[in-house]
Amino acid sequence: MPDHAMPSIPCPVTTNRLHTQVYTDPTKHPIYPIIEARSIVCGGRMATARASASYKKKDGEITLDADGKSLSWRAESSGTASNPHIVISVDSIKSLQATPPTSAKVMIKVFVQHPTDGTVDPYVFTFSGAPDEASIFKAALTAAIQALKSTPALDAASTDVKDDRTSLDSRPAKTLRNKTDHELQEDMSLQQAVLSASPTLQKKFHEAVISGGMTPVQFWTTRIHLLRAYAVEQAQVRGSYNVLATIKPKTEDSVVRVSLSRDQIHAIFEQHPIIQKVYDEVVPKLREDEFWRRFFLSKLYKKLKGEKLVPTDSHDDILDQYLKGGNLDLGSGAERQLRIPHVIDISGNEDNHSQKQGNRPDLTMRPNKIENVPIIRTLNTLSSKLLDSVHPVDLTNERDPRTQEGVDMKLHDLQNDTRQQKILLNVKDHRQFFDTRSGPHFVKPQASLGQHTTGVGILLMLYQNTASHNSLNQRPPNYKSVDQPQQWPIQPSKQGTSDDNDSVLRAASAHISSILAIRRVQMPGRFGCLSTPDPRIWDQLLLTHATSTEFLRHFWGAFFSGDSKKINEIRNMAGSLNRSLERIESIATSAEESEKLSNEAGRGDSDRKRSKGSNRPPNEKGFALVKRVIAPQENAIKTALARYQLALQGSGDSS
Amino acid sequence: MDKVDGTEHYNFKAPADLATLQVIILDTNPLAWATLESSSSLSFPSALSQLLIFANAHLAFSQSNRCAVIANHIDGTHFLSPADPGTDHRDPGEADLTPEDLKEIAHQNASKYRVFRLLEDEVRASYRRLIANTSPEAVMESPNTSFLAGALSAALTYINRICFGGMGGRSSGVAGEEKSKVNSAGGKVDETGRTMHAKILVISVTPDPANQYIPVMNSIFSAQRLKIPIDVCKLQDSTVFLQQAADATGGVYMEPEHPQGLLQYLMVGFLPDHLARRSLILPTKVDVDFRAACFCHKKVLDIGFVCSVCLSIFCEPPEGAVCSTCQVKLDVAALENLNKPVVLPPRKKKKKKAVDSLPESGVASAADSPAPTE
Repeated sequence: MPDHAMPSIPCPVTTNRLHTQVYTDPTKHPIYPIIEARSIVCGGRMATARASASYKKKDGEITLDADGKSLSWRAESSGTASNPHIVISVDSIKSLQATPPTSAKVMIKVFVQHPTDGTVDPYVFTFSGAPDEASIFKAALTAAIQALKSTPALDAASTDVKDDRTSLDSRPAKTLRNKTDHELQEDMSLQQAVLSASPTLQKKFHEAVISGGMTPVQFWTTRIHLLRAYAVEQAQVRGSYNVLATIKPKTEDSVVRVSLSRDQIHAIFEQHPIIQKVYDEVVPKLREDEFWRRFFLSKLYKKLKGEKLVPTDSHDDILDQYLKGGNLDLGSGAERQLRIPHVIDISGNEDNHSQKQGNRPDLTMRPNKIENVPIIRTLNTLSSKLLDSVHPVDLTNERDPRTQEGVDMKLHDLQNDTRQQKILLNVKDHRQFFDTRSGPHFVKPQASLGQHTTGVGILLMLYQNTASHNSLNQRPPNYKSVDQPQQWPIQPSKQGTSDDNDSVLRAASAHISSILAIRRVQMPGRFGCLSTPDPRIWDQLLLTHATSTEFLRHFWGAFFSGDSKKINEIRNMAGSLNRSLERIESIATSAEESEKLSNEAGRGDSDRKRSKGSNRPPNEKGFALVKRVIAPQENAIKTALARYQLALQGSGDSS
Repeated sequence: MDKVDGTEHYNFKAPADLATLQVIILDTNPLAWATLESSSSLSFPSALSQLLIFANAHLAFSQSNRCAVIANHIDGTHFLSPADPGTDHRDPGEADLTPEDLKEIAHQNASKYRVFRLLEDEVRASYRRLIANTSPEAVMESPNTSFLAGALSAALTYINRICFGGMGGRSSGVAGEEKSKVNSAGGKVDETGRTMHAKILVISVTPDPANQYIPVMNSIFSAQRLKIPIDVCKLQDSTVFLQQAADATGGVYMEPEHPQGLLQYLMVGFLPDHLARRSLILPTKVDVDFRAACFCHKKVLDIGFVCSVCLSIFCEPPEGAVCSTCQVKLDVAALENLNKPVVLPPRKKKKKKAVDSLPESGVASAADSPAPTE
């Protein structure tokens, strides 16, 4: 190892000459199992399962591939050409049946759907080896099927698995969005979690269920959406993030330390395949920690982070050779590229793509001329890479880019208008509904106008009195009328004296002011006539209001259900409503008491308040105020109870 | 450097800069006005004069403000201003004028602000042409005729052209040709793409045209979407449509107690533009009655049944479970139990009797909203 590669050079982190070393916590993040960890996470592999089994009375060996995607059986006989060989793709397995483990002859029956014509063929394999072997294999196969089916969208679309027919439990892991209302209602732990997440809801729950006598089921029936929202929220997992940016070197005892966890290393490899490549090639020669130490000082690191390279950067003759590899993103985003239809693919003339240069036109018109990669571009590529690693949920036919392209090719303008699926409404004339309504207002015009009024007269009056100048009225229009076309004198329109006009306008002003005064009082805010009680009483009132509403809702729901099973519920709710009334009363009383106390404390206070607004009603306080605020609900509760009593009496009389 | 900054395009002018288009829909049903005159001594000519003062006040607020007047007549709707292009714009009596008359008129007009005079002349001339072409028989036959839906639609289309089209078209309010090329308030556009604000004022003396219920409601919803307030000045015959129109669009609804003081109502209630209205308490009618009458027995209801398809209102499930308006078969199975609450266990083997003697007009329904309070 060349000496000058050792970090006896200016460290990029600080101006001091510091030693950089990779710090690993031996208890938590042992550095050596990196490779192991990678192989587990990257491949998601499991060991190849195999067992000796016979198919159609021929002995052979059944194998489940390491990636869990195909099941193959190979006859034992040594002949090569005539060797019967069956390969079944696991995702085409419709269902799986197996003999109970206690039976003498252990068999599994695999129903395979033909990929093209959709027929289901059964394959029966009889295990000939040890019973252990058979059960291990069965478990592996089940796990493989499950693993395939629990991956969303892609596989689920192609293999529609009928769970009920599988005798082995191969049900896919239930995703939360499939939960039915009933399941959500049953899920006690979920409900607990929701309650603890929201203090107000917890208060309500306490008030209504624990002290109010409502059952939890009743409480939750109206809040299923909360449960579902919480469940979905909890099911969400954090996506990957820009790892290099989060690694912050720490200075301890004038030594820069960088701590790396196994997850972080894995994420680095995933996001920057180049590092993995370098690691794979270098690490046997270099020690693990040596590699990381050099890496965090290297130009490669700076470049990947998107920082500018400066000539004073340290030189690393091992890592720096990878700098010139040109494309630092090894085969990244290939998946995404595939989905771009050629119609809109502008990568063909990417060099001409001026926006990549900001507002400046691309002078060189050549790729890879930018040595100092701006951080924005690095971040953008990294972000798109991160997005690529996420399974898209909105692309259903992603597997077939051709169809996708075809869809995009369709130009909307060329399509026929889609037939509108509207329901024809046969609306009858509405006149019948309103005629009688306007009846009271309808006055026979002749009655109020007197007999002498004629159409001609009205029109002439209108014609003559609306002219902008009197001289325009020399010859009024000659209406063809049954009446004599007589010359109507020009009546000056009735304009009262100026005193008259004044009084009319004054009256109009008074009318408008009276409306304004009322509206002013109704305005929310400081002109409001409602002073709120003190916050403690107010909170109590809000809570009582909420729970009473809850009770009312359930009461009416049960009351009108006509279900004799709900009689008890109705009675309970009626009891709760009665108690609600009592609660309101007690709140009002306590408000009165606290009002008295505060009055004694500060006597001048009320005078000051009274002087503020002149046209608002006398300040209601304490008892009266609470009663007024809650009055609508009190009415509602009383109505409900009255209806209940009435119904009770009614059914009592009839029996 | 700032001079070549291209971002200026994105800095929209504050909405305060936009002018306002006032569209006035005026009921011109002659018989209805005659009735009003006999009951409240407000004649149409006097009302028209007061309305023109109001329009002038609006135009005086800003040079780019505009005004349009639409007549809701017994035979349809007519633009009084701007007058229909291609028609004779002169007053019907103008042909008889002697040179002396013309001189006198010119002298009289000399001290009048031109914008005011143009609007007034156009409205008066158009109205007189309209009256001259109205047959007396039609007047006597149509005491309640109103083309409210047509007038609202005409107003909205005109607003659409002026305020949203950007093309402008004929100038309104100012009848002179020289203004016709000014298409908008200096080309300013607010974030919704409108070049002007608009409001509609309906001066109404006729009762609701019941047969136009659906078109009127559609117009109201369009106005609501375009954020155009519909102000209503109802001089006689209380109205349901217009009350809801004003409420839905944030307009002012007034029923003047003293119709002769119309000008006062117009000036105080309807003159403020959208900006001023934000900071004013508007004298709109205090208690808007939103209760609806059922379609079957014309009862005013607190609680009723609504057809899920056409929204017709019924006080009880309609006969044969078929909506009487749209003929849709309704599913009333769920309503069967409404009248028959079961509150006692049926151990006596007797069917529970329906509770009939209920306070709310026999309509049993969930009263989960509190009863109206006084």
